[in-house]
Amino acid sequence: MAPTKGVYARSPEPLIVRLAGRGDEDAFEELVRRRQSWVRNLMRRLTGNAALADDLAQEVFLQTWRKIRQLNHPARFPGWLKQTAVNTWLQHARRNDPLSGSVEVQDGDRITAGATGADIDLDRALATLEEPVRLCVVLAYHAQMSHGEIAEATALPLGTVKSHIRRGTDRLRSMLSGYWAADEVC
Amino acid sequence: MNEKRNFPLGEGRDPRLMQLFHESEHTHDDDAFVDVVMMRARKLRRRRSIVLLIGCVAALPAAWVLSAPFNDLAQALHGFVAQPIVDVGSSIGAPLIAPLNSVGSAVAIAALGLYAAYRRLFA
Repeated sequence: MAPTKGVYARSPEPLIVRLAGRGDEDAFEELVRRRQSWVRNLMRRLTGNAALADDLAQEVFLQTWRKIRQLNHPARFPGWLKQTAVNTWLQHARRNDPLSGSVEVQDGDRITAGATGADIDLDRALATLEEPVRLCVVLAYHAQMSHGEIAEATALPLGTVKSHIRRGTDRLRSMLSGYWAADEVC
Repeated sequence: MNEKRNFPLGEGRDPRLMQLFHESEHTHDDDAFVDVVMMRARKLRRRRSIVLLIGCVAALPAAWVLSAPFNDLAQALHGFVAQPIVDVGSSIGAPLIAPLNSVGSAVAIAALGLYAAYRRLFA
């Protein structure tokens, strides 16, 4: 590891964001290293497809690299990255059928705990939701954004966001009820 | 990014789903992803530099070729805009009304009037 990379690994994020904004490639690399888990997991939940999720995550970071110079307040980077990720997903969803590549699950199917892995089961359940509902649910549960933040990020009315999350939550509860049943038996 | 909030519930979130989302997260710390992103970022920067260079190189002959016609056009436009609407000859009052007695001032007054009308009707 180059000496500067070691220094960046120990540096506070706002400083790294500022340096990346000035075109420092090592600083940007450190940002990618720190944030890759969050972005890749978010895209995985939205796409249900690991390869596509990584492609979109790369796109998120390239958008970040293109525009990070415009970020005047480095402390706002986490929210700004979230917005970039949401925009990248929305662009992808507009261009393509967002359910392509994900696993199909019929209405009424229940997912049993332990049959696969929690992540695959969750992806299968999420794949049954309509694209805007899934986006709102993933932002609420994975990104832990408030309803207001989701409304702002997705440009959906607040009432619609609330209703999407309520509907999506009910649907996931029903699909994944095998998980809670297994817990209760144990 | 989630670590600071520590599972905020409320707003209708189901704690069991919250837990499941948390359990489904993977820790990605592989260098391969970072390397691919950085390779693409460097390529992007190189491409931007090349485009800038080509733009500068193309601007030089374009400026050389187009400067004379643009200069002629600007002179013709200036001559037209400065043309007096009413011929007042060389009387004493001519310099006083000169700023208003031109095609340019008439066009400017008309534009301001239209803008005011637009503001009144639609703003």
